[in-house]
Amino acid sequence: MAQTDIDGFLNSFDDRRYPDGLLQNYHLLECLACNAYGETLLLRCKQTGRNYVVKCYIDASLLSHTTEGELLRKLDHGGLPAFAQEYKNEKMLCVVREYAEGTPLDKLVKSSKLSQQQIVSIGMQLCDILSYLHSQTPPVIHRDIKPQNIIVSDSGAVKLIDFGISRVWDQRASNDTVFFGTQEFAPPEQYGFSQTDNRSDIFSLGVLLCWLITGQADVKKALVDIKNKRLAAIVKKCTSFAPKDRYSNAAQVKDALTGRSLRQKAVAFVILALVVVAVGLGAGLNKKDIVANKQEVATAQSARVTFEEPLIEQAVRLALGKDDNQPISKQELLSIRDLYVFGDKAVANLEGYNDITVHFVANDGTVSRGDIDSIADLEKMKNLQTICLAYQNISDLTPLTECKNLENIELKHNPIEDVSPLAEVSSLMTLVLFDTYVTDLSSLSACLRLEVVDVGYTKVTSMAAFAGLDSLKKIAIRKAPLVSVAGIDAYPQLEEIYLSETSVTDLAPLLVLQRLQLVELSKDMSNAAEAIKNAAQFDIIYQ
Amino acid sequence: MSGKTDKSVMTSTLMHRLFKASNLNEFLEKNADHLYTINFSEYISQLCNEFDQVPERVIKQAAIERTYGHQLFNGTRKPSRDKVIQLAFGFELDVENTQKLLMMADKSQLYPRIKRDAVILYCINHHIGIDDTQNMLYDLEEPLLGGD
Repeated sequence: MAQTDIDGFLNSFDDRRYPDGLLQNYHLLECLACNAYGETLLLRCKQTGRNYVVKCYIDASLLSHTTEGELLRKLDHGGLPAFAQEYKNEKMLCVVREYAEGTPLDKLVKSSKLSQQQIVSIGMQLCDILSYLHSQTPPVIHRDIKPQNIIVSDSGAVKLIDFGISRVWDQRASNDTVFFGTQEFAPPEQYGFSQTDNRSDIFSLGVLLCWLITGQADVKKALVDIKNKRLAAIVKKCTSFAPKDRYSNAAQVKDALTGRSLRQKAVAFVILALVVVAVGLGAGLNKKDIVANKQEVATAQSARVTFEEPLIEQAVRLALGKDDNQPISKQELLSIRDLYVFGDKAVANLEGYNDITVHFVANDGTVSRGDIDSIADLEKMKNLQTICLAYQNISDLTPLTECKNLENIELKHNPIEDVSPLAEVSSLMTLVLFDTYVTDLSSLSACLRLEVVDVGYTKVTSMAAFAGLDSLKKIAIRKAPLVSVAGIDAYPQLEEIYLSETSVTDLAPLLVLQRLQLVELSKDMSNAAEAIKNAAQFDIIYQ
Repeated sequence: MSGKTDKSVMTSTLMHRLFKASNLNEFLEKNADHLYTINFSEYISQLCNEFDQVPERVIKQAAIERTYGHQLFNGTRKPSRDKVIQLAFGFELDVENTQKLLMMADKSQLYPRIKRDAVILYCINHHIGIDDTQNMLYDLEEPLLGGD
């Protein structure tokens, strides 16, 4: 080929529009996408030979809007592309990020139909990524969740890309003034009805799930085609027109996808049942025997986050799957949903926790009181949903005011008197305080979702202890110094009440409760039961 | 070029339905049986017929390793973007058909604002063979075709 041809070509070609640094460090390989706002290019690093992706913004109005580089720089999550570099000249801003190996979801679906299991797996991984983004301070809203922006690797791992229109949620703004997003996947508020928040991403996630299941993004039309009722309900709730009717966070969507939200209700009941046995067999335990027999638990000194309580650190490491010597970052703490410690044993999950409960109830000497005095470590785990910290020395619940997503709290066998800090945990649904010094729960009247309470073996003496807790469906007050259930009509939602080993003699007040289905008593209360037996619309069972 | 279409529906009828449809996805779904559903390996095999060539020669002219090339023709391997571009050289396609070939392989089209793609476009447009194209890429310190 003649040199003059090459020279002629070079003279006519001008790529100086790209910032110098970009051209010096990378080969530009191909254009993955381009529009009026800019280009997305595949790059190869000249030094390492590794592939990267660059987003080049050319629209002047966007140059000041985009925060993609700024956002990516702060984020560190396996499901997000890592930031590499940023280059800028007068006409162009280029954000270079890690290349996500895999296939965009839109192409993956074209080549093979996904199973329900694969769809749920993708949904769950996206929930984890969104939980991470939304837990940033201030929260990061992606605002463009669609199949093209989700890359699935050969092993099924998901990466969420393209933060071009993401924004940091501004509490002061009333609505978004710049309209972006992909029409079918964008929530109504993205068109200016109100400001987008984390629930906007949840809307798009719902549309995405619908599209994966049915092939259609028009949820209204496609909903009837979703045969799995649970998935249909999830899609419907995610895509509610009003943000307040959607799931309030991505972790809730994940729980719904895994079926965990349904299981949680069952778990609360199992816990109550176990407590019944515990009262029978473990009554010999004396609270005065609380001995702070501190054991030095080996902990990794090199961890980026340090812990006050070794047992909590152990539970965190189990939750994260980390060895003793591996450092733990603040951001990793944000991914923790559950923590389980019973006595001197930290475990990874509820199953392990229940196993220890069985040993504790059997009083076989394998479970000693734990040495957790403070729960200040939990302040850093803002996305916690369930904590089970039984048989410790916990008395101050103030740190839990930082855990705004807590739904289930189990703190039995602890010297707790004051529960008022929990009033700030509005997400609370289940509270187990068996064998504590609690006398009154009325300070929790702001916990509108609180449905299950166990205050067995406490100092609760009357139903006034629950004043204002109008949503209660299950109350366990076994072995408490309760003498009367007068005033129980203030809890019309009540479905189950556990009163065994109390001194209640008159059960007539229970007859006014229309929803009551089950009353549990001990054998020595049979006279009281006989007195109302004929009028009762509920079942009476004995311990 | 003929594809796997249902001949019982005339193209004009299909066109009428397309213009009448309020939703493109709905149209595509309802008329899936009447649309081309040709995959890449079928497409390049049809190109061979159209240009009266045999795969062996195309593969050689594309400077693709022989076994690999036949796997592309029998559909047991999916090509990278570079391999598709090499095939375009193998078929001696013009720019328009090269872009179509890339589209059929679901790959990004050649983009004249990127120097490497511009070189390739220039060479295809000037009927320059793959060896000279590689030389030109080498001279300009751009990644060679097939190095992915």
